[in-house]
Amino acid sequence: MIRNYGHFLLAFAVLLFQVFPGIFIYVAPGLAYAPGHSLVEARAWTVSIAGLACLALAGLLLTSAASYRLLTRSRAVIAWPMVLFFCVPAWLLSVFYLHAVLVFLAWV
Amino acid sequence: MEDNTPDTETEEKCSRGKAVRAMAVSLILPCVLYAAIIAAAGDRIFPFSKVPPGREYRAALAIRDDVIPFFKWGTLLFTKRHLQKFYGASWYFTQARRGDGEAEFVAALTEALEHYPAVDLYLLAHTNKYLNWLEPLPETLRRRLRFVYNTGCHNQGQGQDWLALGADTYIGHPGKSQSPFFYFFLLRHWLHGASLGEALEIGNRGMKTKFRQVEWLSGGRYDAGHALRESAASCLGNEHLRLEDLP
Repeated sequence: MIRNYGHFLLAFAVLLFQVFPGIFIYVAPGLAYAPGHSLVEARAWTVSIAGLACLALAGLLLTSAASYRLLTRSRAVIAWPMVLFFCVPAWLLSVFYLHAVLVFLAWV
Repeated sequence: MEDNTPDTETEEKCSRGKAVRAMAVSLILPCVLYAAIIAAAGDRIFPFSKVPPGREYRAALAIRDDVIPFFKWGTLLFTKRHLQKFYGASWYFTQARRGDGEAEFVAALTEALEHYPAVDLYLLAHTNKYLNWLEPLPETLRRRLRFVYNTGCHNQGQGQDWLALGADTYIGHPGKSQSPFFYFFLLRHWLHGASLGEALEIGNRGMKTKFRQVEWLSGGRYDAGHALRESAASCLGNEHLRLEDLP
């Protein structure tokens, strides 16, 4: 059954995955700067950029995979609304984090 | 041997076409959305940009005051790499309490002034008086101060004092400013080759656009005009200065 509906579950999962960058952004400043912080400032930049970049790229890849599977395994009338409601918001957040990382790296 | 009738061939072609279309959508849509994010950010991008010449002759110091961890973190992420990339040497400080870090900051600044002919300061702090930290330094060193950007509220009035201290150019905000909007544009354009006058204009224009967007999103509760009057930055001294220029 999961095999039959796996592509629908993946679409839900990619949107749910966007909770992780949110948690990371909530937690990372505290690790670096809250009283009794565990991360020294010299490492805070590297760890933060690496974390954000990984989450952004993972989000992008997962969302593209979900969109591909929806569009190849479902009828268009079901696949397109699901791409619109689940994949587009997930893509938007992922590319936003990716752009932020590229700006922080001074690459763009 | 498999029996390839015209029907199965058509089905195969159809399925292959569907896969190609799905692949195209899954690759192109994120690119389109990335372009939308850049447009929403309201600033051009600088891909494969070169560092303006003379990197080895300039240094920069940045200091962030004691604010909530998220603001400290955001300022660090945005500023640190830009300074490392565009300056021969850079120092970044974050204060844990109001007024701390003076000895470390002054020691780093002295080292920068002794070894580099052009030193820029980024004072990323609420209303501040870092000016007092520099006054004891010898005038011959202070003359190497080139550009001072101060995000502090009501710190525009310090401009003349900074110029008298030895800086060539000073940019500050007149009132209770929302300077992060401005700083985003200023730093990127100035470091990528715009003169300070040009970067200032771009920064003020970009900030105005952001304020208008917030006003629209808040249904008019946010007063963009008032925010702009309080925040619009101005420049004292040499506004033709570019990153590669030496004082």
